Amino acid sequence: MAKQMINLKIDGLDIIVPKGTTILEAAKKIGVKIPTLCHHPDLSIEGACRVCIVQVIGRNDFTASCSYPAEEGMEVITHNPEIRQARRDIVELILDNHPDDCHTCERDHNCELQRLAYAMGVRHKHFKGEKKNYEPDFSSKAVIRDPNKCILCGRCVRICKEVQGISAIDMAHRGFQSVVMPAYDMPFGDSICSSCGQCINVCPTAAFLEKDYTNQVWEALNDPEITTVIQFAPSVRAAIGEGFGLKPGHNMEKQTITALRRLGFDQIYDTQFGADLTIVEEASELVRRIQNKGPLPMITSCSAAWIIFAEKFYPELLNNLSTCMSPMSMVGSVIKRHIPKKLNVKPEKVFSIAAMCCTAKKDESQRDNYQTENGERYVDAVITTRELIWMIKSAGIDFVNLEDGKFDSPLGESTGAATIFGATGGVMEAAIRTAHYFISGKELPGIEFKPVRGAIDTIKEASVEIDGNTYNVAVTSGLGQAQALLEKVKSGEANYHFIEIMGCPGGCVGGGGQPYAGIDMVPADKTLLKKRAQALYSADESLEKRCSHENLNIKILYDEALERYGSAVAHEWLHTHYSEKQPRGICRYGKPTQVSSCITPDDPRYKELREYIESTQEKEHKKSFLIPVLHKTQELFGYLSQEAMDFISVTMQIPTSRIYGVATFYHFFNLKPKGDTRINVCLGTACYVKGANDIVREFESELDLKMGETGDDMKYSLECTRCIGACALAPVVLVNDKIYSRVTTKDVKKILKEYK
Amino acid sequence: MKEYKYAISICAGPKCRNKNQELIKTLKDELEKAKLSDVVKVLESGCMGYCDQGPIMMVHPDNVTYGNVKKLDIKRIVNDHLKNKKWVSDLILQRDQVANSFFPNFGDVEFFGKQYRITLRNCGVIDPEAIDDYLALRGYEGLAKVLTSFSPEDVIDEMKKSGLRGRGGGGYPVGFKWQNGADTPSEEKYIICNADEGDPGAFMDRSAIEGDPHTIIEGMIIGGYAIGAKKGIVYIRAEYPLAIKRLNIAIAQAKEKNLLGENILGSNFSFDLELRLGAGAFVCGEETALIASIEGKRGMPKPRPPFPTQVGLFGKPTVINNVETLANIPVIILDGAAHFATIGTDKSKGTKVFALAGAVKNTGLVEVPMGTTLREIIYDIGGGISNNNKFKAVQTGGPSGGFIPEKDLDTPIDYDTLAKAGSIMGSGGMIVLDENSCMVDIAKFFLDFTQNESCGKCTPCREGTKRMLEILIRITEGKGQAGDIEKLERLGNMIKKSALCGLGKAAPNPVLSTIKHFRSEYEEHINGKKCRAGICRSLLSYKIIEEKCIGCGACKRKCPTNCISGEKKALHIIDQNDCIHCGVCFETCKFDAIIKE
Repeated sequence: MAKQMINLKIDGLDIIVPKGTTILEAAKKIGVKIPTLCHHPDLSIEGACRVCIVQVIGRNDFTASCSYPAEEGMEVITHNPEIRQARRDIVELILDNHPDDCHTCERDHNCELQRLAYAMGVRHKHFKGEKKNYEPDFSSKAVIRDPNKCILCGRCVRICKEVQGISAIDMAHRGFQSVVMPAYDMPFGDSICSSCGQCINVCPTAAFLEKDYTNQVWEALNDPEITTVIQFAPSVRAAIGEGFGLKPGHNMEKQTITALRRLGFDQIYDTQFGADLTIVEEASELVRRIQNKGPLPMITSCSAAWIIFAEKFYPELLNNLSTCMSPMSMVGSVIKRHIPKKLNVKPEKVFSIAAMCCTAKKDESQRDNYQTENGERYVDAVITTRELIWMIKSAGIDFVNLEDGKFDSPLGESTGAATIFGATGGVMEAAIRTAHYFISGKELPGIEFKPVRGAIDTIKEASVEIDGNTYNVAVTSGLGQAQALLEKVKSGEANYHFIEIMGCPGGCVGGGGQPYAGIDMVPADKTLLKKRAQALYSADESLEKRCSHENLNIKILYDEALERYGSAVAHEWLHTHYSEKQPRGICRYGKPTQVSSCITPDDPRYKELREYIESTQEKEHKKSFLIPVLHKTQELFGYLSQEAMDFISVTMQIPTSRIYGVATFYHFFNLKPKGDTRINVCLGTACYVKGANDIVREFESELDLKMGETGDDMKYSLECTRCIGACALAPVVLVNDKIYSRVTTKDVKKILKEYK
Repeated sequence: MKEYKYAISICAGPKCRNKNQELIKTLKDELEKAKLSDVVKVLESGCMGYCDQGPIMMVHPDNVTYGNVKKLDIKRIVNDHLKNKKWVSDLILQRDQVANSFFPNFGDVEFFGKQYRITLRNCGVIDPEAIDDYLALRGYEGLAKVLTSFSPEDVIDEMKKSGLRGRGGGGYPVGFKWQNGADTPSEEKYIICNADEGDPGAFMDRSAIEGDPHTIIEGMIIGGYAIGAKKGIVYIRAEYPLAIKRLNIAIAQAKEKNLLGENILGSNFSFDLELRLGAGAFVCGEETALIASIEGKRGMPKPRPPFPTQVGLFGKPTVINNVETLANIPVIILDGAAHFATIGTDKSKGTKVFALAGAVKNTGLVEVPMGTTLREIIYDIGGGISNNNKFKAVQTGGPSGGFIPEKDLDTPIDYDTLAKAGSIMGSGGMIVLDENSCMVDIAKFFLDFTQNESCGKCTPCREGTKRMLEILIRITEGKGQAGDIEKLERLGNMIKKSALCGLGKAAPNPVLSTIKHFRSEYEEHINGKKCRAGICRSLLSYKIIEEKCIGCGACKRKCPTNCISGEKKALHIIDQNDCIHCGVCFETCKFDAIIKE
């Protein structure tokens, strides 16, 4: 059926669009760019920032063009003096509550807010006042959270929830106090975050940043005693050019090598060598698992965010993960175990650096067993593509016009199979190329395996026939889709031999460490990711060797040190193991086996709460009972403790961040215990005009408490209520359940006497 | 069934509640002694709305209302009134002349004289915990009529003809809202009663539910039938425990009588009702935020369209009506839309309940026909300004509303005239202000409220109201600057046009409307550093009058900054440089020797 078409007029221009098109989209089609901030085409519509307001003729107020659908006969004005002033004022209001530190901010020149402020013409400020003031959170190994920079557009919350299916963060508190935070404002490093860094990618400002390790790198570079060895990932070369103003899709491998050389790195290796190494080990592992009849499906283990996530939420599938370390860590291991001998340097004088498209790799490099027996870390510092871009800029290197460079040997060689690791489906395709060879002794006909390429937002399924046997494979990227896929596996609905999971949408090209979107670009959107991926596929096509098992230096490495694929040495050097982690909370599907903090199930109140929750869970729309459950919890415990919220999270299968967001949104819920005597001064209008404020002051001075506080002795809590609906008796004070009417300041002492 | 000669309802509203258990016990004891227990029924009613004179006790069928009843008075009421049929005249508040009429007119006492009760028709008349009482006053007859002789379209037509508009604030015609809900095809639909009365100065919904819960239920069932919803939800403030209790009782009773549940009254229509408690968020009065809250989420509004009647609760078509709106439904069905449409004005039909409070003599709930003037409400019903002070303004519509000055008092109230006067009908809060109120301060109060209640989603409301509040605070602290009024107007007008939801859009109203009508007060604060009402403490100075000061030293002892000096039994003096205008001395002085100016 043909889609119904809508005729409308935007800025005097006629346009016909399919029904359901928003004004914003319609305007874009005729070259009218309406400014946006909270909007992201791949995320749900928020309509919150109000920057995209337009005037629809016939309406009294402005309309948010991102959410309003085009209607037949509609006339829209996208800019006139009034709209411009309103947009300007809205952006100024955001700036008024934002640090004035553009010059020292990591995102100077890369900041959407900065660009918007310029475009809207905010040249001076009218409405200065209180600014938010929070401690930045450096607890995570990978991601810094700085709520001071946050403008509450909610893109991070949405990508974490909708795309990654995790909800490590959510909106908490409300109004001017709204903050994006993990549950209970716990240190980000302790939260269920998988370090994927997608929040950084979509953040318009610097509210999320990768943890900066460039200082350590500069120091190592400056130390003449140290041999600096750097490797960089496939996806770095596919995206780094964007940081220097190039359009997406340029493969800048050779310029990157030269830039690193100029920065002073002693040895420059390719993570793609590690990718080939991974494939020969992983393909052998797959063949072995198929021969041993399990455990299958085998699941890839290259993606650091995916591993962090799996250890927290899919402990039952840890045996299905390939024991192969990621290409980065394999290269790191070889750098620390093998290269010192080759270079004739002491291992402890080697500083191993990895430039990655990824933030979670910062986490990975610090995993317990990712070091030699002598305590030498495989990778000493991980920097992102963005950090590398900055280092190159900082050193004054004219990146785009650099001459071609060449990797150092032996860890500089790689095949086309390794190149495509950066795109979703790439590892699968590379593994199939080699597994085909391992099983049948013949190359995969045509080399390429296209069914697993492309599509970013689906689960790709395919079958491959090798030697008369059919093998089922599945590929997906983004942790939200990964969960959907794993649930299919767990339920037995799907039967695969091999699964590729990448933590970030689109695979590594969409990693959390990739360059910020340029002017007029949408961060992390699918067209951008596809262009980056295309740069890698083109490189693969142009190469002679396109299968990992053809990598000559890998053969040499096995001859010199690793003996054979899957040998004991190979295991010691290149493999790892995984262990269950106890996350504090749950994600969309994955359910931890227990929540460690729920340690008081003996408390009869928990028994009652469990029974109450279970009675609601039999009903339809069971998650909607969160608020009744919180009421019940408060009734039982007097307040909502973190322990109780953890309990609710697991029992109701709702992420803790969301529960905390709900609990802090509503006034009725107490997150701290209250005093024995609760004094509630009504501050409804009628009470206010009759002097309730004076009564508040009197209570404050009598009790030596501020409004909203509870005394340390837990005797009194002083609160206000918005209206208890007894306006005719104003001013009213409610003590516990007793109402005092027509209270004067002189009554305060008398009232308190009753509760001594 | 027992045959009672008398029924005595004792008000259980907030004022009366503190004492009524004691009164009930005494009454029962006295009835026992007088051997009248079998012929006199004692019941607790919801708030009768005349809180000023509580505790209230009403004797039916005589319709005699006693006020300020004390324990000692009970014996007299039992002996004189019940035994000897002699009314206790010194306790009588008023007499209801038109007993047993469907719209009991509360007689000739001023407070009730101009009222016309539809929504509150049963409040104070019936025992809200007894379904038989409600049934006796034609309760659920409307429902029966609908189920037996109306198609859903007929019900919607009837609503359209009645001209009933939503009483929650916006005034959207109920018939059209129901039509929208009915027109969206879906197996599953919802009707929600918004009982999250958020206006800090309104309590009609609480009284209506506490006094007559079945009316709401009946209204919802009829609405459910009209739009094709099988499920209703009452979203009610957790701060209203009595209303919650009574609704729960009423739902259980209705289920028992097959007025709720499968095949209601033998018809094909099934409908169930559930309570969901709010948790203290003003913004949840907004429809999309309310839906989010019922879904167990943060109560944050969403952009519209889609409208709740298209995509509402759990993604299904949903109609949301407020308590007062629903209370009108059974009456419209029973008496006919045509009759209802005769009440009120051209574009606003029926009555409206207001919570009259502030600087008036009589405070309480007032239900008047649309078109009654503000002057009638304030002076005839409210008895005028208390303490014979001078009227300054009346605030309607709560934090989303505005202020109406003296010159507009003769405006007949309806949705449109109030809007024209720069305010709104809102949910019916009506606060009267006299010359002792400072208009900047009161604007600050409302903005402080909305700021505090802002959900934080959209920039204009979250950031804009904060900056407006800061400007207001500095004006009231004597730090106002030239250009502040213009900044308030600029921000206010931007927020009004750009905010995401209705509450955000309405947040600047109290400020804009006080600027419109009382600009000179703002200017006095900013330019002259004066607060004519004497409310803004920072702008006051305290002085000790020589003739009255006896030199007791009380003020000196209390002063937190030690800025009062003086020998015992000699005149004391306040050092104006160190005074922080806290007012403690003023409150301490027993001899009125300290004045503020």
